[in-house]
Amino acid sequence: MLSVNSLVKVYPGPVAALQGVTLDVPKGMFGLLGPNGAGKTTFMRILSGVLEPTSGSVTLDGKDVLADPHTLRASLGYLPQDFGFFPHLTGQRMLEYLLKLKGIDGPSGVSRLAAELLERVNLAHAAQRKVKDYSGGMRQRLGIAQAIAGNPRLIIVDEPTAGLDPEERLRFYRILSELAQDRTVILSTHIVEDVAVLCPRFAVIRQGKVVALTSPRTARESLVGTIYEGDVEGAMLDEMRRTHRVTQAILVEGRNRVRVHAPSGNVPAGFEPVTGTLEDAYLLLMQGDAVAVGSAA
Amino acid sequence: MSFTRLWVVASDEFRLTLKRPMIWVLIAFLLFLTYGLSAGWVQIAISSGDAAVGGKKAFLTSEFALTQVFAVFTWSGFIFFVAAAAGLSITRDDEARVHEVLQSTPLKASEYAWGKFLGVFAAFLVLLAGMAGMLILSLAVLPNAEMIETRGPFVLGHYLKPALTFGVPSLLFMCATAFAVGTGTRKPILVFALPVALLLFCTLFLWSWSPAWLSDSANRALMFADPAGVRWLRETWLNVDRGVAFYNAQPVGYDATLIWGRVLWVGLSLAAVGLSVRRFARLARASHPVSADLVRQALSAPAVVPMAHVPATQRLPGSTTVAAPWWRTALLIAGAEARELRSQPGLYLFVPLVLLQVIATSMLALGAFDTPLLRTPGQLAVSQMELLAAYVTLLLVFYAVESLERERSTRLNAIHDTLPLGTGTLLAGKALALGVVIGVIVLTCLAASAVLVMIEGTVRFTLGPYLLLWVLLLVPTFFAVIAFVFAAYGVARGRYGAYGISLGAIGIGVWAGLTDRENWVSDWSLTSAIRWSDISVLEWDRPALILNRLFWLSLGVLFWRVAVWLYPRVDRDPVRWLQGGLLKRRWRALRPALPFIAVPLLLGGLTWREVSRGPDGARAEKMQKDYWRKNLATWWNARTPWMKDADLQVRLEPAERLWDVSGTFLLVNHRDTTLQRIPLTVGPWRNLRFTVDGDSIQPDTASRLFVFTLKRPLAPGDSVRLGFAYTGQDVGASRAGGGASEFIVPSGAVMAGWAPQYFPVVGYVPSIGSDEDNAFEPRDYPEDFWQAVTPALFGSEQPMTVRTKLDVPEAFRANGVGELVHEEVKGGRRITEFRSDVPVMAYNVVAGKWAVRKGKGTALYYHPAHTYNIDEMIDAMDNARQWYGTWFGAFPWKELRISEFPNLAGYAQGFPTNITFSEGIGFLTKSEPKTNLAFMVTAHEIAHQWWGNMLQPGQGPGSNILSEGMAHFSTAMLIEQVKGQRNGLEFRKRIETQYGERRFSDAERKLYRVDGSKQGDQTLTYDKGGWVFLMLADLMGRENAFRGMKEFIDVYRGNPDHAVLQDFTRHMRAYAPDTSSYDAYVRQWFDSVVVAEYKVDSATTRKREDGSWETRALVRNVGTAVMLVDVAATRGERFPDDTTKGKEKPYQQAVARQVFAAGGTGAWVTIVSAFEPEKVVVDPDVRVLQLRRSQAERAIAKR
Repeated sequence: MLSVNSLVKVYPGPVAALQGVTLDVPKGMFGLLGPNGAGKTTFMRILSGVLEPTSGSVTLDGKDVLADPHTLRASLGYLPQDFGFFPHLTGQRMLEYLLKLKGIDGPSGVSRLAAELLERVNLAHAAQRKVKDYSGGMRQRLGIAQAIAGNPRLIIVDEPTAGLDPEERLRFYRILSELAQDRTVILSTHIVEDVAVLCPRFAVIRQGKVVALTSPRTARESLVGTIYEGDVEGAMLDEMRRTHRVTQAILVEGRNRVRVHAPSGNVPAGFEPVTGTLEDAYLLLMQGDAVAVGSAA
Repeated sequence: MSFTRLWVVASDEFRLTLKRPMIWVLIAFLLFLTYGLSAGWVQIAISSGDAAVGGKKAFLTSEFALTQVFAVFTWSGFIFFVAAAAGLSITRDDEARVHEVLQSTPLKASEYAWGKFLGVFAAFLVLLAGMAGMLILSLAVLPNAEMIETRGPFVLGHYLKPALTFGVPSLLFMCATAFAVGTGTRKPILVFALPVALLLFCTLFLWSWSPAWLSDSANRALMFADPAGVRWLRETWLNVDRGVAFYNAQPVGYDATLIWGRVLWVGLSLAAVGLSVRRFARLARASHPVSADLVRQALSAPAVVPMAHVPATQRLPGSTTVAAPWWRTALLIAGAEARELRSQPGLYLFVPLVLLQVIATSMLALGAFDTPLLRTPGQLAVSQMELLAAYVTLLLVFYAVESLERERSTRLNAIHDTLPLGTGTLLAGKALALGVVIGVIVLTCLAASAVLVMIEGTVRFTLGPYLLLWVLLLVPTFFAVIAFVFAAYGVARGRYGAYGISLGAIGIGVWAGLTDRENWVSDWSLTSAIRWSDISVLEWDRPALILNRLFWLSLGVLFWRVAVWLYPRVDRDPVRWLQGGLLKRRWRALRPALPFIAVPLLLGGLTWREVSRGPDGARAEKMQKDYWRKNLATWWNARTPWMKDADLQVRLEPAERLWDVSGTFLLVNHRDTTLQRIPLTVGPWRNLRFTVDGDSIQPDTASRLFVFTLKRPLAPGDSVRLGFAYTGQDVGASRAGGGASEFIVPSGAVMAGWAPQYFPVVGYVPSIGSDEDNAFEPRDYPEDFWQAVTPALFGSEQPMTVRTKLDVPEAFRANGVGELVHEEVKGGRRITEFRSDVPVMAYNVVAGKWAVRKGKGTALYYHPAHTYNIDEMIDAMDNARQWYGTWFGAFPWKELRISEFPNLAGYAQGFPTNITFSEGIGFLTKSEPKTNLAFMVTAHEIAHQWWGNMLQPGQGPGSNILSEGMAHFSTAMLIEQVKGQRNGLEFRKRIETQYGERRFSDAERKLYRVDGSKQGDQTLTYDKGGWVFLMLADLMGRENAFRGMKEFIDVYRGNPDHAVLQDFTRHMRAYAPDTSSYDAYVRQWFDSVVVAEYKVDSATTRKREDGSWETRALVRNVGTAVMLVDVAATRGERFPDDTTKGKEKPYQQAVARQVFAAGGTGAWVTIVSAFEPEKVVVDPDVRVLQLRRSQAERAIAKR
């Protein structure tokens, strides 16, 4: 169990990136959802031991990881949001190097292990190419390979699917979901679909605060019978926003397809009831309506 | 190319460059330099002139001075700033990732790159103009009142001309090379390393390396190769001093070498920029040339496996996680780091640079009279050690910072910082990789040393000194440097701060060294602390040396601890630190570091204690000051009795650096008044006991001056025997190592009797406790001082008989003054007794573990391994004894000894019969048949047995020329006598060249007034003095001269009125066959300052009807001396070298003798010869001292 208690991080400025975050993260997959600048990366960097918080505590199975980051590092698989590799090494050599530094070995040796990991992330064909020649997605996959290696007790992945194509994203989902069966995996993302697919529980963070702690199912169920969808003329959209709670307004084939949250039955004319999605819930949360989505935060 | 777009980029870069904070630092630096120049504490301009009040001063505003200022300041002042601005201008945009945006605009890559370059260059041109303005302000508009004598008239051209010819091309070169390196490699390390490398290369080699044997063409090539033009200026105009009047008034004449050199560098600079712009433009479009084969290969490559079939499960491969031992992880990191470092081009620039410097330094090792030294492993290891430490330190600063920065610059740190490895392990890996780099450099230098030693082929190459000096002694330095830079990185948490802290620390170290503030505690790199001796390997200050190494090692450990603690792996929160419980938190953080602080504190304290109780320490200094303060008024110039006899028993324990002395001095009152009290100066010895005529006495003491109040006052002519016994021991360490002129170390001892370091001295010694603060001005002697009685220049006032009984361990031999009268070995001790019944002026004791070579009444005591020049030295000793005895009077003792002592000092001292030579003098001189340098230095020192001992010069200006100048004269005569004319001419030319290069024409005084206080006095005393005696002997005829000199020694030997130069010229007049020409010669060469300088302006020849050849030459004497000089028409090589031997034409010469008026008026000379001459040579037999001898000859044109 990873426990986070009253975590505060203030950057010079001052900017309060985290404002007293408290969370208990059990085994399994846990999502951290939030918009850009919400404090997700700050939170993940503190959890991974590379950033010191202003105050608060973090314990893993009862051990204070802030006081002794080395304890955490030995059982951590970490994929940061922004990272790089030694450009002159090949993918295989780079991964081997990191595995050796982590003390990870395979039954047939570290080279074989590295090769198998590269195969899992579909990089076997580029194993002998220098990292500097990798595309962004390939680098991301190499990062994933090092993060999942060696059965870490805690895996922290920050925006892991950025730069991945849909197929690679699917591959990664499978890997993560299997890994999450017997360990804690924290997934930070602003892509709602990632959480919807993978996480039985998730927290939504906004302006440094946890505004919701729930499950996708609960969030969706709380919206049953409250979401309506219809077309709106462009000129009327602003008026609609003033009079109704618009969760989404997207262009579909040139038309404004608008979804509104109307729990009290104030349904715009021409709108039909639809099933609420996690995205609706998330966007409602971003508008400050935690109660609507059944949040525990 | 659009000039509008170019202008936009350039003007933007121009503004940006001038706005950078570092420009304010540069402006402050330039203000500091120009103000310092104006105030006199920055000295860079012409060194000619007279330091004395009222003497002629070189103007700071002359064209020569300002040319040097612009040439050197532009280079050394601007280079770091220019490199940073020009080298990083494109890299910074690269890091800001603006290139792709810029490329999407109509701006072409070439416009962008040229604009960047021109913007930076223009900004520094403005700053150069600013520097010129600052110079005008500080030197002309607001000159420093105290330095007004150094200000000449204001001439704008003096500022503009050098700024344009030296400043602008240098700036362009710096900008261009930095821009090319930065743009080409995008590696900041190279941009920062470039100025360091260039500056070191220029200051340590290109601007200063100018051995006498360097040919003119090679010198020209080096001038051409100097992008700053400083070498040209120094070699063409400044190295041979032309006098203040010349420098103050004349313009700097540019020649083809300079003009084409400047044009070449401007062209190369623009070409470098052009090429780098072209490369940048090519790479910006990513238009790499790809061959058709590669295209085919790429197109035929199998497609990437389609991704549609993602397996249903993604079970990961099995693995185990076991923490590897820290050292294995460190080795792993070291391996990766070493691979990265290997790919750094800086290494391939630095290593050749280090190698070049190391080889150049090894070639420059010089001993006495600038004689080259044999390359021994120990000497090479020490001479290269300082450079190695300096270069590797600089390299480590750059490489250590870049190594720490590597994960950040590649953004791997985001992953790397979370890996389960200790920070100490991580740093250890990086340090190990840096160790590999150091190892490569050290091994390269070692290989170069081995090659140098083997090429010379005289000395056997051994590894021992290198292991001792480069490994054992330098490892703590390198470790401390690495740890310091790591710690600096931790403190600064970034590249630039770490550079700033590290280079700042190095700057402080350099400042401490230059201002003589270094000591055994602070000397982290052992700069100048180590002297190599084959005889005494690191015995001097050994405890301090060991403590120093341990101290820096422990300090390295402390830095390491700080580095591990502060390494920016975790982004610390400043607010957390400022929250409650700050003190408690700090203390908790500090507590584990206490042992790391305590050990260096303890070791530093112990090292400091060693220095404090040593001869330069506070205790000794206080003792000396007390001696000066308490005794000066009473005892300075007090009358003391004559020490007529010294009887000494000396027991030496070299291993303990201890000596026991007992003995007596027989003191005779030779004054005309009764003496009541006798002062005796002693050292800091223990168990002091005294007797007077055998009765114990307790003298009054005043800080080491013991005053004996006699029961029976000493009437004129009476004598008293003063007895003494004491034990002395050398303790502590000198302040900063290096060596000592007298010493007892486990391998030997050198002890002289003329200072109270080892033996008591009768009277007060004014030099003790006297320093810059309390020293008296030198005495100003009137012109006729020599007519009064002049006391002795050194040693006792009157000669004494001496007996020394020396008791040393059996393995040692010991030598004293006089003849060996007894020697026995008993109970593991060797007891020898020396006696000189012939009175001497000074005595000494020297001991060592020697082998002995006996000659004809001579003996050479030498280190058993130093056999290289023994034959030549014993030959010199035998011949010197024979010929000097013939010329100047018989040597009055049976044996003349030379004893070798450890190279803790580099002198030779000619005590009567007992001469001491440092290793580097004679024994390790690189002597060749053409030069016979070992013969030369031996002959010079033996000459002091006559000129210095038998003839003891008196106090007063010019008198030391009787010692040193006559020793050079004697050497020249002996070389000619024994080695023949060719070697004789070589020696004359050698000392003539030294005089030409080292004289300061404005500070030069007539020989009668040379007292060693002015620049250039040394060459006047030795080289000009020797030459003037040589010309005198030619003028008088050698037989007459020798007769006069012999009788001169007889007259003044033991005479209370000691001889000075005026006594000599007055005495010798009686032996001159033509007194009027003698007087004229003395007036010219002793009583005024003259020197000849001949030029052959024209030389033609024609065949006469009788078959002979008539040669006519126009010769000008542009010097000031008027001498009868030979002008020869010559044919063939006089002294063919090995390459032309056998093929040469026979040498022929026909001579005409003529006097040429001074002042440059030419005169025609006609020479008739039986052969067709090839050239005209003024003074072919090197008989007249002249400047620039090479211009005193000319090839003949046929008429």
